[in-house]
Amino acid sequence: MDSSTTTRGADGGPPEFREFAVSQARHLVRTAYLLTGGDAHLAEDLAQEALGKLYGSWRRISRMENPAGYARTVLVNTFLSHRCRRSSSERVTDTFAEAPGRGDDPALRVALLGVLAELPQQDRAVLVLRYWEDLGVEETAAALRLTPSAVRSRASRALARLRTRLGDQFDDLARP
Amino acid sequence: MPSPSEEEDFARVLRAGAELAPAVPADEFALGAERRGRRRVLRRRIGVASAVALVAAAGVVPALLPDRPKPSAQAPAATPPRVDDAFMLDTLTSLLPAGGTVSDGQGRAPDPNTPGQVPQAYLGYDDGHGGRAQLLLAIDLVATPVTTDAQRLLCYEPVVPGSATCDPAARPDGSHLLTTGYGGPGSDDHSLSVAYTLANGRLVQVDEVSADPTVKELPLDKAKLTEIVTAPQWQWVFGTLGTAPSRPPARPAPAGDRMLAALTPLLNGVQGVQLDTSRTGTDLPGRIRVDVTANGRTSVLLLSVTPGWRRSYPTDPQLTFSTMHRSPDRRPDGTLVSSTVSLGGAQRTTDGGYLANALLPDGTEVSLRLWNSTTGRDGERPGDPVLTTDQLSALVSAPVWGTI
Repeated sequence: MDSSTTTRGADGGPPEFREFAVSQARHLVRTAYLLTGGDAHLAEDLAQEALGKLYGSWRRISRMENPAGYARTVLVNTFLSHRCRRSSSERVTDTFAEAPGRGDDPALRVALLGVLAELPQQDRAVLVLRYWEDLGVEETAAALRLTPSAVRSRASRALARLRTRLGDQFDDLARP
Repeated sequence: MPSPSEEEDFARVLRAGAELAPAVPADEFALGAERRGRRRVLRRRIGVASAVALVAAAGVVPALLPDRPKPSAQAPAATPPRVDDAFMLDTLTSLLPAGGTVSDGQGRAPDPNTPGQVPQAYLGYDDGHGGRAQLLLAIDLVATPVTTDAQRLLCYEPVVPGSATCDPAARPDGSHLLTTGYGGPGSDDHSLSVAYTLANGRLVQVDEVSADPTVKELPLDKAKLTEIVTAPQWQWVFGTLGTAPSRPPARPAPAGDRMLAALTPLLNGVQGVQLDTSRTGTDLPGRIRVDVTANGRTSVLLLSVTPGWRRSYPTDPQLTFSTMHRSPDRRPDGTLVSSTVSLGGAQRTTDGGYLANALLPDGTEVSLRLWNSTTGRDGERPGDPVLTTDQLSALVSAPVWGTI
């Protein structure tokens, strides 16, 4: 049903929900892509599921100061609670990436995603919120219901592991 | 504790990884999100209904559906019935298999005071054999002529292998059936949806969502849902909705090489700008990606051209465009243009860039996104995109996009 208009939508449809979902789609998918360690299908699924969770309460959420931040939190929680739907280690890397071209080797980025996928889910969530979403330690702690010290220690441990596993590739990616 | 420079390094590393994320067609993606949201609302309702039934077990008895002739054999009454909330609910109830029970039903008739509100009916259904589901039936209009490439009749949901199905089918009488299913191993969301669109633009859609995530079999199968949406009784509802708008069919999305051929002279007309096609992506119709260089800096430009943008929706696409882009400029020829600076999700990410959109008078939507240049002026942060928003606005509003 058409909910792109001001009043349409099943259930008395949230009027601006579709616009919000359109505006957030790309960023949420990218966040989910990092959270999942490069699983394109699952990233789309999680991002869409997170938006779907906002739908039923959109009138309330749309009045929040930062609906996009709330969507991000819902996405992370969806990621942390999702059941593993497949055991395959398949990674989709040949999609039409909506991305700036870079001079570096795409294989490096695929390697990064692979190492990211090896981290515990909560460590990945810490890294993504801290360094992709640019949240502070306290904000990350609040989003994940951790203590600030736990966020610091998880971030430190995860970064050290990434550096070890990626070796020189880390610097190649950080400073192309 | 990582040092600030290490943190900066890692932020750059993550951004590099994120660039491999798949591009999603945002409109269709949002539509899928809304469908999932509706399913969640339905599940919640059945949960509430179940709780109420337990609390008031002595007083509330779900209606037992009697045996009766098959609904498909029933013709609409010769005299138009009164289409009110009860009609919506009673009609849906009458189309369900006998022997089951319904609960928590509500109907909503067309309301002349809220012309955008979709008539609908929903209820809980228990087949008496362990199958319980919530049903939502909704009625709407699709602009004519109805085409299978209309955005609303396309399959799109993120596909986790084995969990989603989509089956579009054109019927000999010119109508269309779109059947989508969701739910697989590990999924807590089992649902089935059938949308029936007549050639005159009348759309009847029913969504069935399992009330019990542990039960994989839904009580009503595709054939039964099809029988429900194709029941002639629903045609009475359309009498108060008016006629579906008629809009010219959209031409196919242009091939990437044609878009590139049209874009090249436009960019060559911008002083100091060079087009680098060595990493051009032209693999999807209606979309290309090119590198644009100016003054030694390079940005990536993504161009989308969508003929017949939202032509299938009842609402005038121009009104929708104006709503989505707040206050677009209206050019003398009727083209609507909007341009914005996107800061992205976080100030330090390269997710920012410039966006420009135009809706041409012929209904073609043109979208440009220009990312920040990969070379920042301070060597640390990404630089500004190499074109201005005014230049992007001029590009998207070029009449050539309506001719390729």
